[in-house]
Formats: sequence, C-alpha cells, structure tokens
Amino acid sequence: MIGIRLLLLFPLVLILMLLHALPLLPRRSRLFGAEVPREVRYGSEGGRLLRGYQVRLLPLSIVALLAAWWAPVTWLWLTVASPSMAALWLLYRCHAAAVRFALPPPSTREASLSGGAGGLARRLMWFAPPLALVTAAALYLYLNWSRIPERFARHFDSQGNPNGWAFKSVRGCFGPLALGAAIILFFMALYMVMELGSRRGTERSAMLACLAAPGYLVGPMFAIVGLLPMFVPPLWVFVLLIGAYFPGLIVLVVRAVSQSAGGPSEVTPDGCWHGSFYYNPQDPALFVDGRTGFGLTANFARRLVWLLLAIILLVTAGLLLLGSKLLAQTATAPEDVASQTVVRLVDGKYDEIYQSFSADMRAALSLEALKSQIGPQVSAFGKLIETRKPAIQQIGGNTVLIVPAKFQTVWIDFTISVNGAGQVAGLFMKPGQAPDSDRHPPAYSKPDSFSERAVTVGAGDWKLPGTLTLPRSQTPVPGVVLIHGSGPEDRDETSFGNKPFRDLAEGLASQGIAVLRYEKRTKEYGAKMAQIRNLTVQEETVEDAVAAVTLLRAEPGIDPKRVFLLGHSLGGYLMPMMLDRAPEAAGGIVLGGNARPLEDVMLEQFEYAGSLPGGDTPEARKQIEELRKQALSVKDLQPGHEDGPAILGVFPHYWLDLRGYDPVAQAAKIARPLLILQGERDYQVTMKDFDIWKAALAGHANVTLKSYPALNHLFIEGKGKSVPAEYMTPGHVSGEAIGDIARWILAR
Amino acid sequence: MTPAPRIGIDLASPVPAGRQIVDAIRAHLVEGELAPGDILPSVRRLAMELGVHFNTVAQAYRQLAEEGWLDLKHGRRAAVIGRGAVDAAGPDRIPYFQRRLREMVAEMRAHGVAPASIAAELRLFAERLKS
Repeated sequence: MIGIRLLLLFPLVLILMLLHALPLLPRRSRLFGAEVPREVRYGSEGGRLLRGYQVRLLPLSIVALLAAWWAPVTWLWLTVASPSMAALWLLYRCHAAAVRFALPPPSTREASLSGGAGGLARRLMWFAPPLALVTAAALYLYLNWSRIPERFARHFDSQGNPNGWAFKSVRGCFGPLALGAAIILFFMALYMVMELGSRRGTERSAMLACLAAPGYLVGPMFAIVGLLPMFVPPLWVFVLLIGAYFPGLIVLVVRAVSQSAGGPSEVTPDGCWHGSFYYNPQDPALFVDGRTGFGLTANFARRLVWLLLAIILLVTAGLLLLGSKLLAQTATAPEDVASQTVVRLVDGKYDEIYQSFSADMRAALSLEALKSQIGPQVSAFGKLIETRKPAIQQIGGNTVLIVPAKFQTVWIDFTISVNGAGQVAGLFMKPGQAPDSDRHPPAYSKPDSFSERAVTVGAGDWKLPGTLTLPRSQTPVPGVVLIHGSGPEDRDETSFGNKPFRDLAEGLASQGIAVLRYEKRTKEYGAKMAQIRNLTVQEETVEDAVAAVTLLRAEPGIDPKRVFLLGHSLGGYLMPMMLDRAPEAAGGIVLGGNARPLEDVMLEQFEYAGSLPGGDTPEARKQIEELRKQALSVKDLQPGHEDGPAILGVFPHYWLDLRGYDPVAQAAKIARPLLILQGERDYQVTMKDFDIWKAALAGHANVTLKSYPALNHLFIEGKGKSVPAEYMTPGHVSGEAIGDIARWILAR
Repeated sequence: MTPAPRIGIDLASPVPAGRQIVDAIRAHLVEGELAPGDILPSVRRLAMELGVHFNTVAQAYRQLAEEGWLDLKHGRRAAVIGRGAVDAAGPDRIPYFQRRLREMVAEMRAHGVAPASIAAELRLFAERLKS
C-alpha cells in the first residue's frame, strides 16, 4: 500500500516542482510575462517578486504533500488541483505587479529571407524512435501469432494478479499498439501544425520537446502492454520506466528552455493580449510565444485556430473512446463474472443477469423464466454467507466454473459457463458440500479412536473408491458395510449439508466397529450406467454390497465372522436380497427401509409433496400429477414392455425385475440377526413400512425392531412434520440410534 | 554558408508595410546579398514571420517580379533571377527619383538629422556605387 502511495506521490512532487519553477522557465528578459529590463529582472524588484511567489506557494505545496500522504485516494486530485489554482492566481497577481516595469514594446519585426523548409523533417525525426518501437512490437506479435494464447491477462491489480482479460483477436492484440501509435502520430501532427502556424521563434525547440517527449513514455508503455500476450513483465518494469522517464523529461525540457531563453522575445502588440489570451486579427500567425509561461499560445482571432482546437478535442475524445472500447473488449475475468452472477441471483437482480447472458442463453432462458423459476429456488436457500474459490475448466471456447456458495443452512454449487466475450453461456445449480474445514463433527465422533484410509471396492470396469474407518484396537473388531438408498449417492450419502453415512462411520468406529463405505456405482459411473437398458438392483446395489463384504472380511484387524450389512432406504429394502447373496455376512441392519414396493412409496411421496405449502401451484400440481401417473403405470408393466420409455428415471426392466420381490417374506426366512430401525417422522419411508416389517417379523428371536419418535428419513432429529426442506438444515445422525446399532453389533 | 539576410519592418511607421518589404528586399538584391538562384520564403511564411497580411507580401513579391528581380512562375516559391543588363532608364523617369531623394532628405532634416550627417550618408552610398 505504501508502494502505491509513493507511486502516486511521485507525479505530485514533479507537478509541485514545476509550479515552483514556472516563473523561472521563460526567457531571461521576462518577469511574470512582462518584458522588463535585465536590471529589473535580476535586480531587487525582480528578486522580491520571485521570492514572494515562492514563499506564498511553498506552504501550500507542503500542505498538499502532507495531505497526499494521509488523504483517502479519492481526494488526491485536490492535492494537485489546489496548489495549481493557487499558483495561477499568484502568477496573475505577480504579472500585474511586473507590468509596471515593462519596457515599451518594440514595433519592428524581423524575418529571415531563407527559403528553406527550415528543418521540419529533421525535427519530426524525434517522433520516429517511439513509433519504431511500437511498430517493432506489432511486427513481433504478427510473426509469433501462433504462440499467442486464446486468452491473456491485460490488466493487473496492485498485487500483480490479473483482473482484466483480452482475447486473441486482431483488435485484442494490435489494439493497444495501434492506440499507442495513434497517440504519438497525433502529437506529431500537432507539432507540425504548430511549427507551420507560428513564427520561427526560439520557443520552437521547447514545443518540440514537450510534444515529442510523451511518445517516449507512450511508446515503451504501449509496446509492453501490446506484448502482454507474449510476456508479462513484473510490476517494477513499469515503475522503472516511469522513474527513468521523468528525470529524462526534466533534462530535456531544461535544455530546450535554456536554448530558447537567450533570444529576444517575439513582438506582439500589447493591446492584443487579454490575460493570457492573444487575439490579433492582423496577425497571420496561428500560434505566438506565450506571455505568462513558456511555449506557444493560440491566436484566437484566426478561424483556423478554432477549427484546430475542435479537431484536437475531437481526436482526443476519439482516442479516449478508442481506449475505452479496447478496455471494454478486455472482458472481466470469468471468475468475476461467475461470482457476480451468484451475487446477482441472490440479490434478485435478474435484469442484470439477463443483460450478461449470451444470445443462446437468452433464447434458452427468458427473463420471465429466470424470475419465476430460478428466482424462488435461490431465495429458498436463504442468505448468502460467502462464495469460495471456484473450480475452473476450459470446455471449448467457454470457461466453466463451479462456484461453491455457502448459504445460511446449505451449500450450493453454481455451475456457470462464461464465453469468450465474458457473457454467461450456462447457469446450473445443485446442492453442494460444505468443505471439510466447515464441518462440525458430531459429539459422538472421537477422531482419536479411529483412522481412515482409502480402499477400492470391486475390480475391473466398475471398481469403486471407498473409505475404511478402522477403530484403533489390538483385537479383531466387527465390521459393517454401509449400503446407500436410491439415487446416485456418494460414500457419505451427502444431501445438502448432511452426511449421514459419515456420521455413522465415525460414530460406529468411535465405539469399536470398523465401517466400510464407498461411492455408489450410479454416482461413480453415472453416464455409463444410464445407458444400460436392462439395469437392475443387482448392478445398481447388490453386486457391490457383496464385493464390499468380501473385501471387509479380508481386511486385517477385522473379525471375518462379524461383518454386517447396513442398508439405508433402498439399501434396507434390498437387505434380505443382499443377505441371500452374501451368506458370509453375519447379519443385517435396516435403516428406514421400505417394506412396500418402491413405486408405492414413491407415489405416497408425490402425494405428500402435493399436500405441502407450495405444492398447490398449477405448475407443481401438473408436475406431481405427471409423476403420480408414472408411478401408477409401473403396476401396468408386463414382461415384453422392456423396450418402453423410462419410468421415474429408470427403464422398465428395473421395475419388472423387482416385480416378484417381497422383502418381508424373504426376511422371514433369514436366521441371521436382523436389526430394523425406523424414524417416526420419516415421510419418505413411513411407519406404514415399519408396521409391515413388525407384523411379519415381531415373533422372530433373531429380529430386533425399534422406532424413534424424533427422527426423519436420514435419522436426524427434528420437530413437527418432516418436510423436504428439512434436509437443507445440516444435522447429524442421532447418537441414540448409533448407540443402539453399536450395542446390537457388539452383542453378536 | 552565410546566414540568409534578414529584413525588418516597422509596424509603427507611416510607410505601408508592403513598401517597406519591397524596399528592404530590393536593397538586399541591389547589394548582392541575395544572388540569382536564391529562394525566398513562401508568401505565407514571410507574412507570418512579419505579422502582415498574406496579400501584402504577395503584392510586394509581384512588384519585385515586375521589376525583374524575382521569378514567381514556379509554383509559390519565389526565386531570385539574374536580372541581366537593364536598359538605361529613360530620361522621363529621372525626375521621379530626384523627387523621391529630395523628399527623403527633407524627411531626414525634419527628423532633426544634421545636414552634414545626411551628406556623409549620401557620400557613403556614392562611394559604394563606384566600387
């Protein structure tokens, strides 16, 4: 920050120095714009006036410097403006005082009878080096066109991190160089006009120095900026360039001024001066020697001068516009577009989001749809707490960013793709996961008592990454394999901020039970699985469960005789089937497993969703009715319908395969221990299912049944009616249920 | 290379600027400081340097061209040409120059220049003409 401050102070110091030097710069016979005898200029009167100027300006300069050090950056312009205004006023006052000593103006004017061009071409050569530099840079870019990346940083913040980008295009690459060349040529043209429109005075070299000098900063500057696609120079290169430039400029100006300071000043009738404005219709010169400072000033009586001023204004405006156009083309970094979009979504600034859409995106998602569909979803997440650093991928010409956003209760991943022009070309959201650092482990998790390591379940095409949570124990421990519910679940069964399988793994491991959990096959190989028309629960769940039991039994430190299966939801429904397929499993635990066919449970869920607030809108009713119809149509499936369309997300074969499966009847035949647990608040698999399990198995000595009044489908505690939105609130699997499971396993 | 000759005009003088320019340039021509082949500044340039109207300078150049000193044909650049031997001025032109000399001497006397000084100046010119 101090570095930046110093960088800002540097030009201010130069300007203040110039203000103090201003009365000393004009030719030696001049005192504050008045032509005076040398004995006045160098005598006591001149000294007094000059000292007076310095003494009055000095305190202001000191205050300005101090203010520039302390003032907020937005007020810095005042520190330049106020001493400048004061200096102008002082110059005016001193001029009025100096005029009293002024000599009567001479009335003769001299001219050389030389017919030569006067060396204009030679003087214009001063503009050549910076132009050559810019041209060389352009040539270098042209020759190395193939090496230029598609997107490159064009602008950097004070820390040197890129915050503006440009794209590989003629405009993006050559634009800055063309702008630099245009600026230099503009100054060159200005000098030509000034030389042609003024007398061959001695101020000419000073003018040349002033107009040629900017090119020596602009040229290297724009050459460096133009070469950004190829090289990114460190910040100090710019600091060095500016640092070297200004002392050089001062030397040049002092030389030019000292050259011009000797000669007699140009004769201009006093009556034509109005302040520092010259108005003389008799004088054909467009520019004459200025009286207050050094250099030339315009003869405002000439119409051509007004035209020139208009052209200068127009060209300056044009160059500024060109510059801003070039900046506009340097799109915002995709990261900024993405985070901006998230913030706008949360703030409900749909118009602004729509403005940032690409043409295709606008066609795909109308402003109304954005407002009525995406809007309510986002507002349901609550207040945005923060967004994290996005994951970035280049796909085609687009940058695809996944921005994890933390809301009051949930994490949402916003997937936003940004096209080459910095427009939003895609926008999706899905529940995200809290980063590990954000998780508060449940009280029953004792991380010191277990260790975790990666394992692979199965082999070949469908091998699955998994996690084995192993208690620290000298003796072999019992183990349990966790089997997911329906849907593409990960190893933690992550749902918004909840990770019930992770809670189970840590909770059980803390009580001396090894837990194996893994990514579901439909999660790890989702796209591949979706192609399989004759997919059944075998491929979806059962095969991997059997492989996991085999794996866990073979692990060192595990008692192979006490490896159990724990199935949640669909996993519970399939428990009897899995126990049949894995005879070496010591027993099964059913958490919220449905006893009725899947389609019945789903139908009930849809009807429940329709009865909730928000479920009675026409769109929601239509959607629920459609799902209801699909659930009902499962019953009508007959063998031979396998080629029909997918129903509720799976192909008919999946439904037909489960047709004859009765989990309760199959469970009744199993002699191994069974633990069946149910949350009473569960609205997905309800007490109806539990009652069916109970009715069939209550008398069996190997079966234990228990229900918990406060728990929902994830076995997380809650109050009142369980609703879908409840899952957005992060919680942990009930310690009571985990304790029951642990005691039951340890007792076998 | 010797620096190009300079001319000066007095804006406060009652003599018109055009006359002053013609007289000053002619003096350089007669005295040989401007030789055939020399190029004079363009009308625009000289007008700008002297701070007079373009037409004033253009008029002056035209008069000098009529007198045979300048060639104005090649574009705008005025070139000094070899004047060759000029036909002796006819006897009818002499009284005009006599009158102008008398008026000049009278003006000098009116400005308080001593007759002896005037005579000395005239003798200097006469000497230069002989050499």
